[in-house]
Amino acid sequence: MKTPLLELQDIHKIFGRNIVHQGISFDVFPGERVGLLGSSGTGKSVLLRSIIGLEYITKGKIYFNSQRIDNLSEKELTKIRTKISYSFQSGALFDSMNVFENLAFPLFEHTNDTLEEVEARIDKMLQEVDLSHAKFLMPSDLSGGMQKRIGMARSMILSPEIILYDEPTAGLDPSNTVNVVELMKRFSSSGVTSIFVSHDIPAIQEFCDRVIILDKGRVVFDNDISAFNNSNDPIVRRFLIAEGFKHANQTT
Amino acid sequence: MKAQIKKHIFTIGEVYNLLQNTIIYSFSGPIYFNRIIEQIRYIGLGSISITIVIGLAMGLVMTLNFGFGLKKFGGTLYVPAVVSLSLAREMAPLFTSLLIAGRVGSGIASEIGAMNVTQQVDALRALGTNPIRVLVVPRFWASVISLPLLSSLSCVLGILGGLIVCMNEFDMSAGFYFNKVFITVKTADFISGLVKAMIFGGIISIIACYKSFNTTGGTKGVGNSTTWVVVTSSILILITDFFLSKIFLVYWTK
Repeated sequence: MKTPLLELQDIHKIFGRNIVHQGISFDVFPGERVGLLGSSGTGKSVLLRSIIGLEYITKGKIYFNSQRIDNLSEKELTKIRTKISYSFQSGALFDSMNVFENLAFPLFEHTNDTLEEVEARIDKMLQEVDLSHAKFLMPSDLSGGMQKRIGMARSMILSPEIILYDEPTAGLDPSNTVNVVELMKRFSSSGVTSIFVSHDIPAIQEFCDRVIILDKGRVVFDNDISAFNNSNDPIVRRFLIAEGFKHANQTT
Repeated sequence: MKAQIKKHIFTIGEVYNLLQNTIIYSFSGPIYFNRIIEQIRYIGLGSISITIVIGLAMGLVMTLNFGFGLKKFGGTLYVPAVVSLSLAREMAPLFTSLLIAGRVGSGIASEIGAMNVTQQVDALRALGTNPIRVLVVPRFWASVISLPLLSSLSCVLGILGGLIVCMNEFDMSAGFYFNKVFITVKTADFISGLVKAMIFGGIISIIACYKSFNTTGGTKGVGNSTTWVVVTSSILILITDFFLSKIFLVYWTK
């Protein structure tokens, strides 16, 4: 039997009086591409932030490679965060650094690579995200789509085991959305496990092999992508119908 | 009211915690010397022009006031002593620090505050880096190193400003002026001013970093944090100055 890479057990998260998660449990296996769906405010991003330790959970357990990580200190999490990577919705590039420095930052922090080796890795990564020409540009000189791609490149530069994508296609035009999804597929083909939070149903259908839906702080659907596409579950239908409406509105 | 008190006590605890972690991280793990140098350039070198203005202005104005005030009692000869001693012990570190609290405190608050609201601080953590080590430690040490140097510059310029007024308004010779200054101002007086400036530098950087890490609410939040930092660090500098003056006067300089 395969060992899960990531295990979430009975996760509860409460902000003041606001109950965000009330008992979320699921496992993610190596190489999986998991789509995390849910209406706005269901705590999808909070769940991703909890996995990487940017938020503390109120109750429950999170295991990564069979090691419990939800109770680790900030110092202990440092090592884990080189294996679990987070791609921010906005890219969250350091705006005082250019693209090269943004990508070099984690390498200088966590590897003993020489400047030449760092440069070689960055050049390769920039080629992969098709932004070699942007090497010395500042984040303010990049478009939203380019910032997201550089942000994704930065998340991948340390070759993590799992990457958490927080709405990478939000606010992008269709052409940039395709670019981002293609990039995620390319990253995924190298064996990295992915959790993809999005409202973008076509992107989820294109990229993911499994879909988890959150509603009212609980997992209400967890199945593979074909089951999601053919489901008669009212909650799943709601998402698919909403996407149909969107598509109809765009074509009329 | 109770909630407000609780909130203030919590804030004090958090600030203390940040200070403690900053000192711990300064002496363990990697140190970002380049970032410290970069910050010294911004905090120290970048503040030289306003320090020159405040130093000269203090010396000129104080000497004029003391000079004409003491002239009535025939005490003009005491002006160099009074001016230099108050500059070395009190005025140079205090006024320089208040000015730096405005310039640097607001700069740190807006820079890190903006990083916080745009998730750049989270990105640092997500990349396995400690934001205190990367953002706070360099600013803390740059402030602690720069403030005494700026304060010294301000003190020297203030004394020179006093010389200009004494020579032109009270017909005092430069030799007499400096003789009085060197007789009056002891090393301990000068060092007490430097220690004060170091502590004020620490206060400015820690308060600014604390608030910026807790900035929420977008650009409006950044603006609010900036105001809070300038007001709070100025008040803390003034309160701390009273107690430091008392300690130095009673136990050290006498």
